[in-house]
Amino acid sequence: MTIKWEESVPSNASLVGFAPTDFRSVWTSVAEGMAVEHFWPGSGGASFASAGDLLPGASRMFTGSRSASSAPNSQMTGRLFLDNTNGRVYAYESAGTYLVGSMWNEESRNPTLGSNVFFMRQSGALTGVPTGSGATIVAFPVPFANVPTVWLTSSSNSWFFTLFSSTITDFTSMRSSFAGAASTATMYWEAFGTVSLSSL
Amino acid sequence: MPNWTDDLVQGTSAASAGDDELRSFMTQLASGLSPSFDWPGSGGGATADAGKSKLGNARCAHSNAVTGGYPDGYLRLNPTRAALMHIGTPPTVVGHSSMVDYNLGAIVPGFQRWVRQSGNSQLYSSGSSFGTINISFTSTYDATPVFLQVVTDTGGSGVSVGPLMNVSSVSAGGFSSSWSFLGPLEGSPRIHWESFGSITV
Repeated sequence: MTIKWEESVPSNASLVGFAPTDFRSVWTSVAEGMAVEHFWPGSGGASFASAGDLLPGASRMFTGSRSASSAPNSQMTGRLFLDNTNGRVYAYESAGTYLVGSMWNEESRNPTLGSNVFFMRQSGALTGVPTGSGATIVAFPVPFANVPTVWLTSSSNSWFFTLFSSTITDFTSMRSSFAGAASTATMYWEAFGTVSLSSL
Repeated sequence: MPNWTDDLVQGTSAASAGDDELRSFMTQLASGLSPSFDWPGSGGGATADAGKSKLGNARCAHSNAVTGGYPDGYLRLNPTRAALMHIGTPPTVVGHSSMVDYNLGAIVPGFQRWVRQSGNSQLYSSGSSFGTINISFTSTYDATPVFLQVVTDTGGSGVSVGPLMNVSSVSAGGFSSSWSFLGPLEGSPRIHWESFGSITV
């Protein structure tokens, strides 16, 4: 879009009679220029009610190498930066910088992601598991929206841990130690599933 | 923008001042727009680029809310959850500081992505205490996935040990696992699996 924009017109020598034409020309140029990235009425073609709203996709991130990212300040809050060397997106706040996107992200395809949820991986280590057999219940720090997949690993080859059941709030494991097992073992666990946005 | 006076032109203003005021208006407007948009004249841009967004003018909303405040398409930086979220219906996390980032060079940026798939299946339907199960991935990988893990549950009340199993073979489309009970055949155990590899977009 090329607009007419001459800040020297009208000049001190311009005829007063040209004023209506000059004024209309400026109004038209403003509307045409603003309409490139905004809803703008008049020559911009949009309604008065939406005047000034950004058109979808109208804004652009900073784009450059990672070294071009500046230390954040109060005027940068909410601004976005694309590190086009490493394929990562950052969002700034006055007190810090957040990594908010990466081409190296993992995409989870199963289970199906529903509305208002996102994937979360939680893990932990249960120490002091005694010898013998029995059940142990472990609560998830953050409740899942759907029953997650749970993985169990023993710190000792003298214990065998198996998942018995799981719910959105906890899982139950069964332990069985082999003959000769002594002292205690640690059960490492990991759970992966969806979590509600509102649960955080 | 050095100066912007809404009531610069009064009803009593001299008509002869009109040209000065219009020039001032154009200068101020160009100066005010130019930090975020290309604009000619005092804005320093080309007339052909007038109105275009400058790099870096994107600015998302900033609050601790999860929903509301803006319609579809707007973004919010939520500092409490360290997340970039799509505002609208439905609200969606589009980026998160705690997300898993695989700084691996095995993918072609822009054309491939890392994909994790998981699932579970009933391990057997017959009365045999050992056997093999074949699992197909929901989406076929570009090549054999770089990671695969399997585990079984006990599959029933009073059962304390699930069957042992391995990964007999794995390909881009799926895998096979052989399983065997340690003790008597009991319960209805399921296999739980998780795979990770690249898929072309």
